[in-house]
Amino acid sequence: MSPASSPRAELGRRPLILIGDSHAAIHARALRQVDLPVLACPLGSAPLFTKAFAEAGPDGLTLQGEIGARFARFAAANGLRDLADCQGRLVISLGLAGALFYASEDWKWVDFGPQADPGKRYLSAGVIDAMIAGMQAPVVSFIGHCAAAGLLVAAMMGPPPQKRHPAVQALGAERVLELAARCDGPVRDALAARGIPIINVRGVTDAEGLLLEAYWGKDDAHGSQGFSRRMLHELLRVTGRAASR
Amino acid sequence: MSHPYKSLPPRAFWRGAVAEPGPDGIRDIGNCRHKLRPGDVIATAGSCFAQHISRRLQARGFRYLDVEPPPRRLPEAEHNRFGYGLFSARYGNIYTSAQLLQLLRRATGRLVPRERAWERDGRWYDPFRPTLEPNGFESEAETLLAQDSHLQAVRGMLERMDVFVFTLGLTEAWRSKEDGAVYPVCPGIVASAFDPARHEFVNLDYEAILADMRRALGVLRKIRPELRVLLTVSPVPLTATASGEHVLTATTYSKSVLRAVAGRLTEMFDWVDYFPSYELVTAPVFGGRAYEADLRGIASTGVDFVMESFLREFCLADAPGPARAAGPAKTEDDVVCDELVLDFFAP
Repeated sequence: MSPASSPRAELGRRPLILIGDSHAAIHARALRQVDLPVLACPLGSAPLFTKAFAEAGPDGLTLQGEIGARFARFAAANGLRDLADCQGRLVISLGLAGALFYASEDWKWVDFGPQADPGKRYLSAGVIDAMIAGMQAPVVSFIGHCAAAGLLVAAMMGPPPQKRHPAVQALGAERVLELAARCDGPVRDALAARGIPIINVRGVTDAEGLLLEAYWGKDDAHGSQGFSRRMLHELLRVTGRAASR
Repeated sequence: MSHPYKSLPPRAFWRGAVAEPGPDGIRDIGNCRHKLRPGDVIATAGSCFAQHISRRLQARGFRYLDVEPPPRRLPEAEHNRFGYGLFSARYGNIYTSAQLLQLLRRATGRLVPRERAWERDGRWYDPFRPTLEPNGFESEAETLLAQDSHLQAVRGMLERMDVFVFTLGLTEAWRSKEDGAVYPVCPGIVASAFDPARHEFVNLDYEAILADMRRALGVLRKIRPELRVLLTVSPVPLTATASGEHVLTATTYSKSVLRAVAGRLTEMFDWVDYFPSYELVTAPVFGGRAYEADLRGIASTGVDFVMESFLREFCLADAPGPARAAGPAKTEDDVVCDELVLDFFAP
């Protein structure tokens, strides 16, 4: 068997499968404009992934409910039988966008950290971490199953917070970035423990660490398609597929 | 021949009120002067038995005051671990009259204890609710911020409640020799270190508890002149005693004193009622059936029995109905006792 036709090489020619939250939807739109070896399927908004959404059974890992139905439609349209067909080429955009957490209405009446507003109820770091652990548990579990099955090759970082976001206006950039980092923590740890790279790009933030206006999407939580294109190229570089273009 | 007993109601006679009806037939046991009304805003505090009362009042749809509700994203399984949903504020168990009085003084700015944060292994703890954060706070500053926020919430509770339900739990306490600050848990068990030069044991006596409670009730009524108070005594025996007595006799002493104080307070103030949860669990007629296997914890059936009596005799007939949610979501096993920490050290 020649190197070009080895299973690894064969796998390298097959497109990556990107699934995930609403940020995956932006990536999917960007992919309509550029020809890259990535198939993207947004499965639902981030809150859907804060409850159990996947199940590991004797027939492998399956996605449940609305998320499962979306994946099934995507799989059928792209000749995939199931998640197992994503062996060695699954990329997720899940649990790495803190907006879900820092955008919470709760921050109107609770606060945290040394600069906490004394007029609001104080939330300790311990409580915040417990909130995040509960919120991220389904994604962490999913990562464990995907990694064990040899599916997962990378995870896409969500866009940094934007200056125009109400949470940034209310809490300040530094504290929103702290919340975002705390929110990402369990997912980052789960990925790091399994050697799964997190795709991120440099040069898209200002001095405060907020997303540059040039990369803002249509709303205050999502990036632009330009941001997505940069992320997708970085994904191909990190996974060693850029050369195949 | 006439005598005063001839005119007494049936409830005054053991045979007709207790022996013949048996444990399930005992009625009219309380002497409630101010039944809970559907619109009453109710706040609770006290020892771990008070957590049962809190849950059942919430489950029955009373206007239960919770000034420190859990943040929405905190999983329900974590609520109790972080002191949410146990009482009307996150003060944890308030075992003694001195603790209650000092909480009120701290909340109203009249007392600032010298020891406001305890450290252990780089983590920080609130001396007055040391088990609140399972892994402690990140820093002393965070401990103090959380403490200030809590006391502000307690102030809000004091200003809003119509009825305050307080369960007297213990007479034994540990306190600071420097300023008399009373702790729910002996220093050194959860955090800090016990220092005989700074900390001492005290077994509060009848006079001290009565005085504390009178002062505490005075603070409460000053803030809410129409406030009504409902006292109970916890039927949960002591986990351990530092009094030098056997834990059984120490329990009897402790509960007897608390019961006597509760009775005296109802005589002194017509806006204070006593609900006999203690009697409904410990009286010989009930044969100890309310207790769990360890003969200390109160089984769910025991709590049900006590609370049925409470709802029947201390709430107006048109009190709120069954729970808006499907009853108490937590099991009785979820009751959080700092004393369980102490039990860990038992030989």
